[in-house]
Amino acid sequence: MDQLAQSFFLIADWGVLFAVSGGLVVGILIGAIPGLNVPLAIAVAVPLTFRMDTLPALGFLIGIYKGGTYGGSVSAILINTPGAPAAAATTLDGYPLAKAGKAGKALKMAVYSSVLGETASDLVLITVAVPIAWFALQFGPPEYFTVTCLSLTILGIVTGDWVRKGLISGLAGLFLSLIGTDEMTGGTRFTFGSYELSGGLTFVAMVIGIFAVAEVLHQLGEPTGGEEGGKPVLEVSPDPADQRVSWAEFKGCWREILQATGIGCFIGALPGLGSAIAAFVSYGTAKSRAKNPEEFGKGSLKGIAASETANNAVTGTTLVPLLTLGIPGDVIVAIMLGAFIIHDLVPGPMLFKEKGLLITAFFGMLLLSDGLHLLIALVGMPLWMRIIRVSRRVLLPIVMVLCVVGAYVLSSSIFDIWVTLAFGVLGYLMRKFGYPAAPLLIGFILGPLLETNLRQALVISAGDFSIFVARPLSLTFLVLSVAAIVYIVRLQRRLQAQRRGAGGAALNSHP
Amino acid sequence: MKFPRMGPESWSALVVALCGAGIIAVVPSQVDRSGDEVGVTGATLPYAFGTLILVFALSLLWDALRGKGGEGRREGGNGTGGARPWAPWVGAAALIVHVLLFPVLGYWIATASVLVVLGWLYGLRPGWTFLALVVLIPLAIFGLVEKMLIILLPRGWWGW
Repeated sequence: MDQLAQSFFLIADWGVLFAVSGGLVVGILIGAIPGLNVPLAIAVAVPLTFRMDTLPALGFLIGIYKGGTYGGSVSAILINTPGAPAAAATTLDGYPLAKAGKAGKALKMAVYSSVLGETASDLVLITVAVPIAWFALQFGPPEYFTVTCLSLTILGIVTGDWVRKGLISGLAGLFLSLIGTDEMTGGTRFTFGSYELSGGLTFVAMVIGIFAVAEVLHQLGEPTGGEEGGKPVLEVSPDPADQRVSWAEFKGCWREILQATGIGCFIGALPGLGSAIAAFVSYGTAKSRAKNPEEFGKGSLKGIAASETANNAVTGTTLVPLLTLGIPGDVIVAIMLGAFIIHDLVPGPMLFKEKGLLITAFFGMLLLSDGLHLLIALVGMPLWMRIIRVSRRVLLPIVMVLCVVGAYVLSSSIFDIWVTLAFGVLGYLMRKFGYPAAPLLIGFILGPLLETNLRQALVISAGDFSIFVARPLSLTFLVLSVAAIVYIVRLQRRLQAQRRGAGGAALNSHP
Repeated sequence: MKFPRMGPESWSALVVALCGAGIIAVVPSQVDRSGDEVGVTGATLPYAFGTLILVFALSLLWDALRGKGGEGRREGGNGTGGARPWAPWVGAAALIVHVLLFPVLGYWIATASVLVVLGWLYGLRPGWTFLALVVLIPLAIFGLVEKMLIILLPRGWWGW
């Protein structure tokens, strides 16, 4: 109780309020502009949070994450172009509704369902995180090695349709994580005599390169003419009832909202799936269970509620594996991991023991951000509707300069800018030739966990590999890994079928 | 027998395969192999990762040469670029020059110069928007980094 009171005072601070609100505004703006995405925004923002206090820094990033996930729906509804892959399913009903002059109704339904989804997700996180963390305290190196193997099955999911290329990308990430000093022997590996490389590649510099610089380089190859002129102008219905969601309409969507909350929370807790998949699975489920499925795709509020609730319901539970085991659940959380470490919060079970007060305050801040999200999204709606007309010609050069400066401020080192540039070009080439970037990042994070725990377990067992099957927990994780592979193969087939059915090409644009 | 034609897919697979082979080749000179007594040394995983990269890349190459490639190609992409395939490379070259000149010319001139080049590449033409981009953005970033984060940006040979 004392800790709750103390954490309340930590979050009842103007700095935290401003940071969360600022993050939400930035996130919604970035999410609303097609071509800019949440991983890019967070990658650029992480270095800017170095000098901030811990809670405002994390609040700013959480704000971007939540705001950006919702922001994609603004352009999805208004111009039929999802600002983020997670909003691709929202276009199916949002745009037809906007074309009928009811853009305000569609946008408000998106806000309500997004906020409900993320609030439920945060409550699930708060409820399950502590028990999982206490359970994880029993883990030794064999358990950590096998749970990392289980997490590596993520790669099978984030690779999407491109299994071999995804695996190559993941293996490249695992290899890159080995560059630097070997923790077991103290010797250096793959540094080629470079002093700067002896500490390994700088994670955040790499992230900025592979997500932000690569994206901006890719956009340079796209046509520059006519991007502002070609969008249809929407008529707005003069009837005020067409611009708001009535209680009866909202109540009519309850079943879809509850269902989508469950789907989103579950998919968020599973490593690697992410909000775009949650939205499509939820939309497909809502449609298949609807009394009038023919209404879907023609401006159904239930369709918007299903996809928007689910994609935001991912945002809380995706933090479960990160906070409890130190394993990022998706690529956005993987980028945020850099900020956690910079602020001396090393995710894992010990975090709850050593930084209990801060984590309680962090949970409180998540709930605070949900309330602020509702307020800011509704109050700022006229601004979001304007911002989608801002030219990418102006924004992208700014993003590029922020990438360079962001890489420099990491350690005031020009070497980090070179790392950013090198990974920017690598990320651009990977994108061109169909190698997904997300597995590389996840491999880079899991590599040290995999290797160190494998070697420590074998030191304990004097080289006997049976240690991994002799301990019950370790054996359980190995069995779960095999089950996960079988599940992933079946899920991939199902998702491919759904993508074909729902025009889900946008899913493939997830980095 | 006619040798199959190498397309972008085959070339990319070949480059990746060479990277895998390169990893395997440099392991002996780049890794300390102490710790043999437990069966896994600092060289074990690099060998494993390099070998797997090589195997997967060769299988992609094999498929590409048989005309079955194209796994994961971007929509509309052919591995050679978008509507303006040269532009990303000009942008990357501009960035490399920018980073080279960053410590020499200092933050202000280097940043304004790269904004001119990037703005032009994105299709902006001289006007108030262009001027605002080149003047106000370096100013705003300077305020954020030097005044708020208190991190000094490079001054260049002139000291500003």
